[in-house]
Amino acid sequence: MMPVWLIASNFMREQRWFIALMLLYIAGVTTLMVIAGHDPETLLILKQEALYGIFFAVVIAVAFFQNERKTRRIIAVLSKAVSRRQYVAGAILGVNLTTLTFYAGVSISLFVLYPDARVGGAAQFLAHLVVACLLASVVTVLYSTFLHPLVATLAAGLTLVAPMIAERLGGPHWAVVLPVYALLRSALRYHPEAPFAAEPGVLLLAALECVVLWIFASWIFALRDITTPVE
Amino acid sequence: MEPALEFAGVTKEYHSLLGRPVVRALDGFSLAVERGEILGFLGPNGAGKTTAIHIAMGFMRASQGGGRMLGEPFGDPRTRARVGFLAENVALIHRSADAALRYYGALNGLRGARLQKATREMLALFDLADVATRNVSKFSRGMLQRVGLAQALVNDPELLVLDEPTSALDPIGRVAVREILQRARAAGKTVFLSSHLLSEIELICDRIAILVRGRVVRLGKTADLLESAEEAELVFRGVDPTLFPQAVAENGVSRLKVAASAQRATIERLWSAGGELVRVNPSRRSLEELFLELAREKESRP
Repeated sequence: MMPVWLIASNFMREQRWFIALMLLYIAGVTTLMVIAGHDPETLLILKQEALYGIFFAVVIAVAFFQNERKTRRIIAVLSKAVSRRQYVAGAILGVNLTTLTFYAGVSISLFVLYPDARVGGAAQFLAHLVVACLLASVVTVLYSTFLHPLVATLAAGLTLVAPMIAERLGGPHWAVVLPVYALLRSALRYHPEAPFAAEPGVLLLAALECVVLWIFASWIFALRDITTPVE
Repeated sequence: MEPALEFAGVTKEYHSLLGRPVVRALDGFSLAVERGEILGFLGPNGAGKTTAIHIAMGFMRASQGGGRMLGEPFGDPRTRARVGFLAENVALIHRSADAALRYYGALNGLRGARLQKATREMLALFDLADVATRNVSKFSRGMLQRVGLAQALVNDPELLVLDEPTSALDPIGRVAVREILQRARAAGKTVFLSSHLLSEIELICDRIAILVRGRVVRLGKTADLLESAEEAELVFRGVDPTLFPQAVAENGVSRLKVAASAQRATIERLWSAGGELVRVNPSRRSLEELFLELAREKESRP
């Protein structure tokens, strides 16, 4: 477990300026909304901010393997007692610690803008977003273990959108096949002063899919040559 | 005793995007590195040295064949905790030298006081204590290589796999690394050393393997490989110097280099002239001469 934590915390440390920028953005938008006063669009902007987390998760996850291979720093890590499975887990954890920090900022913003917001509802709202982020990052990591970052981004995007299209064409059960869309849809229905309609079954399914896809990504990554010869 | 590192018929082919083999980097490569020795691994550029090392470390998969490292199949993460590795182009996390060493030590399972002690020892051993708090991204290539060596040794490994460990070091640094490797051998550790610095290999290696086009073309003890079977030096005295005009007189004896085929006839001629043969020295080539000879053979092959 320690190598996973070390890889993740180092990744997060490397993203510190990006994290700072994201938090600054949230602080700026929150300040602006406090000064401007509440209107119906405040919640919409807040939800929009929350959705950015998914975008950030995909973008930083897709860059991880490419950067590590390009800079050859992956060699020094995998020359130690670190398995490919631990390495992939470290990448996923690192990405999600970064987005978790972002969501911590979103939570503060939520309670600044809505001091009377229900704590339970807000926690469930954020849980849906965090799990959606986790699943989106695992899907992206899976593709980036064997595809060029650009192709991996496209593949991840299509995979995450596919259940939405399938739902329209084939019925509502398709939305939970890879439930990032289903979780986001629930999150978008959130209101700070109303009870949140949580979907614990979908959350659980998403968490299980994360484990399965992580194992699959590790298996693919273990088959890959991580270095190209310098000779 | 089982070798520390063993390659058995390893072939590695690099393929195009369509799956066609483009380059055969290793071609049935076999080699055993015995425990407690320093084995020099030589070869011209493109011979497949780095590929072999990367397969042993588990960074790549062999197309055919396989091998064992410290008794376990290649790529076993637990085995790597007992191995120290330095890549040809050192690339480390962008943190202070001290933090980087602690990071890599921790990845190898070191914790707490043991990790702190090992880090301090490595910083001192590689003369990095004064720059321990500086970020390695600001280091010169030589300093980065020293941090690279330190991270390879931080876990006190049984087997050291070093790819060009002194290429960026100054002469003082090279001597220091040579002494460290000799101490490691004295402590019973094994060193698998790939280098283009032939003088260094000649000085410290017990055996040498020369790789050309993905195959070992020479393997043996350093002294045996450098001994020339084609030439010998005769040392003699008590004859008229004009009889052997090519001989060089020195300290009351004469020295004459003769081809192996002419050795017997020359000695008989010396004796019949009443001379005394003091000794016959096998002629030694430098490692550079041997290396160039093999590299030229490679070029002349289709």
